[in-house]
Amino acid sequence: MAGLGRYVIIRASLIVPTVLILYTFVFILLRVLPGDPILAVVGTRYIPPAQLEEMRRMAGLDKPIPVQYFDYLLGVVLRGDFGKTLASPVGKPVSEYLWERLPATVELTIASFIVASLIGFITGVGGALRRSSRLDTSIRIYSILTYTLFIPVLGMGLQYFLGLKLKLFYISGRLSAGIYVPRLTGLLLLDSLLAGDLSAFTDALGHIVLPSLTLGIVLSGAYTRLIRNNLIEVLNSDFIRAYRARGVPGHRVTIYAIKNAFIPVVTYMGLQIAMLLGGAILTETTFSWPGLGRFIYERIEYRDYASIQGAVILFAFIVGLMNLFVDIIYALIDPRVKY
Amino acid sequence: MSNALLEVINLKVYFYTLSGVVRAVDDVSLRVLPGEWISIVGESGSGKSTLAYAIAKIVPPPGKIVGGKVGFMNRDLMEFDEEAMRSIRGRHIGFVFQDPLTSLDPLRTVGDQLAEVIQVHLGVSREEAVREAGDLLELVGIPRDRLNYYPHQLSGGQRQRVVIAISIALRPELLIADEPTTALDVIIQDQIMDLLKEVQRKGASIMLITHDVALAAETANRIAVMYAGEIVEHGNTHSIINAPLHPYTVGLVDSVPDLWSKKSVKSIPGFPPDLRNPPPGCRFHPRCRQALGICTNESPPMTAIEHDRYLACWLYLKR
Ligand SMILES: Nc1ncnc2c1ncn2[C@@H]1O[C@H](COP(=O)(O)OP(=O)(O)OP(=O)(O)O)[C@@H](O)[C@H]1O
Ligand SMILES: [Mg+2]
Repeated sequence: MAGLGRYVIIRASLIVPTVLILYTFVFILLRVLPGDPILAVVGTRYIPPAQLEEMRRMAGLDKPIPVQYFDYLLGVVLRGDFGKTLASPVGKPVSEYLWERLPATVELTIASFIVASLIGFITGVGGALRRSSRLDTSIRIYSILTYTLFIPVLGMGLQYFLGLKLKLFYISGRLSAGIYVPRLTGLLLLDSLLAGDLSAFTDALGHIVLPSLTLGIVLSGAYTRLIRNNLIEVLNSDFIRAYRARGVPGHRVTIYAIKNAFIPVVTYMGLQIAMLLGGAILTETTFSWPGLGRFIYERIEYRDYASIQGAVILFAFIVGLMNLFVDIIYALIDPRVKY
Repeated sequence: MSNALLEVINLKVYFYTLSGVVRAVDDVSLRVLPGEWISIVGESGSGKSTLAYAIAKIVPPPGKIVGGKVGFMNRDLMEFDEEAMRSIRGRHIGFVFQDPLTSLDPLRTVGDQLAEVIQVHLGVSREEAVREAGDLLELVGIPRDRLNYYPHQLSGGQRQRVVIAISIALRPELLIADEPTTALDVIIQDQIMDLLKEVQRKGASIMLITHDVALAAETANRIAVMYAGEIVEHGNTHSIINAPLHPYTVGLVDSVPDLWSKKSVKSIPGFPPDLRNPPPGCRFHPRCRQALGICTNESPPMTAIEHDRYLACWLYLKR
């Protein structure tokens, strides 16, 4: 187990470059994008240039860009200080927002992950076991279609049919007005259960279905393809043929094949950073889901550097943690992983 | 009823691919007696593995057994359903495949895989199966504490021993070894061959599939030579090696480096045909220097030319 501990530490240290790369990317992007945070706040009001300069100085925007880069980064790392909002309400610590928004994103991401893996597993395994059948062809078309789906379009389609027409689920927000769930983890589904409040749980569930279905469907196509193709490859492999040649029952052989086919999929789960980030922003925006993604979207309008950078850093950190989690699972199920 | 353990009669196995029908095994007949060692030799792609799979009815799709019969222990396997075949595979017919690196499940310990085959066929308790598995490992020369090892923790030679241990776990009457040593170095090859000889000594019949004539001849009682999906010559090892008749067999035997006479190695010019579209007549005629007119349009029938010596070649028929 000492080996596993070391492995976890090495893997955990990989979070650092993930966070750095994403932070650097948005930092540069924000500086390159047209628009200016101060002017965005000011809008069309007239403010004397001297006062503008003063605002700029207060926000630290008068400093050279490399200094801004390191100031912010060091603030986060050393003091857990994610800066202050530039836009209204001006001067609130960004960390307060992040703390409030984070659980919504985590909850949505987990739910979408479950939806994506379930769909991916069922369709992928089904396609591989009934290879070249009509079912398989439909499944392959499905997986290709998911690549072409645009989250807001799919989201609005689901909102329209399942939400407005059939009235099965809520189409926006996390919870209906008037329902209160005491915050323990911040994950409403979990907290409502812990509080023993079944009606709150049902309400939260009714809200999360559509956004997680939307993001889940879009992410699932990749899983479908990956699982299907891996399983077909494994089913054709020597050791599966050897199992058959030994008279091992077919259903067991299928299970062994699925286990083997799953290993590369686990690695892949860790590689969906960009998809998740982009997907969360779009999904949260479509469904007014009060998470980090929607926060980023709201703050882009104001070029609110500190808020956006902070949210991205936190997001990258969470994704890194998920990767770490996946890596640990991977190490535990694949005996060939050395640690 | 015959006294043969395995009797393959006019077997045909075709692969129905998008680019055409591959006639991988075409009208092959073969007999294996109890306790004997038969080697099947032929170039890559001649249908050796397909023949082996067909005997156990594990031909992978798009392959299909389209004709002929496989008799085993005086039963017609063509009439067996999948469930009945399962009780034959592993139990009465053992398989050793070419690549020991890939014929074990990488996610399960060798002990699990070894015990499983015992449990599946005998329905014994887990403890008993594991004990038996340990005995088997020792039998093939691997310490029993390796039961808890995963395949990647063993060397290639050890893995092939494990594969052999699995294949002989239920003392099958027939052990089919498809190029069991090709992936291994020479010293390990010898050890694996010794192990197979030991298995034969204990009463099993061995079917060794190889493209190496020298290896085929090493311990075989009989040799069958396959070319382009057909058996072209079949007889006892001594006569096949010392007095080959079919020009293809002659070419194969000549291609073996001979340590004593130091004569130069000759290889057969040309390539085997595309089995989607084999040449008419004798399939070997485009490469045969002695081909007659009849060879180009009429397929030579397999004929017994002496006791237990079969040949399909116009040079020795109708002459
Ligand atoms: N799954 C498959 N699909 C299509 N064609 C196949 C398949 N498996 C084998 N074949 C074809 O059947 C023919 C015989 O193949 P087989 O593997 O039996 O030859 P082999 O004598 O065992 O060759 P090798 O020495 O390379 O193992 C070849 O022409 C091959 O291309
Ligand atoms: Mg082969």
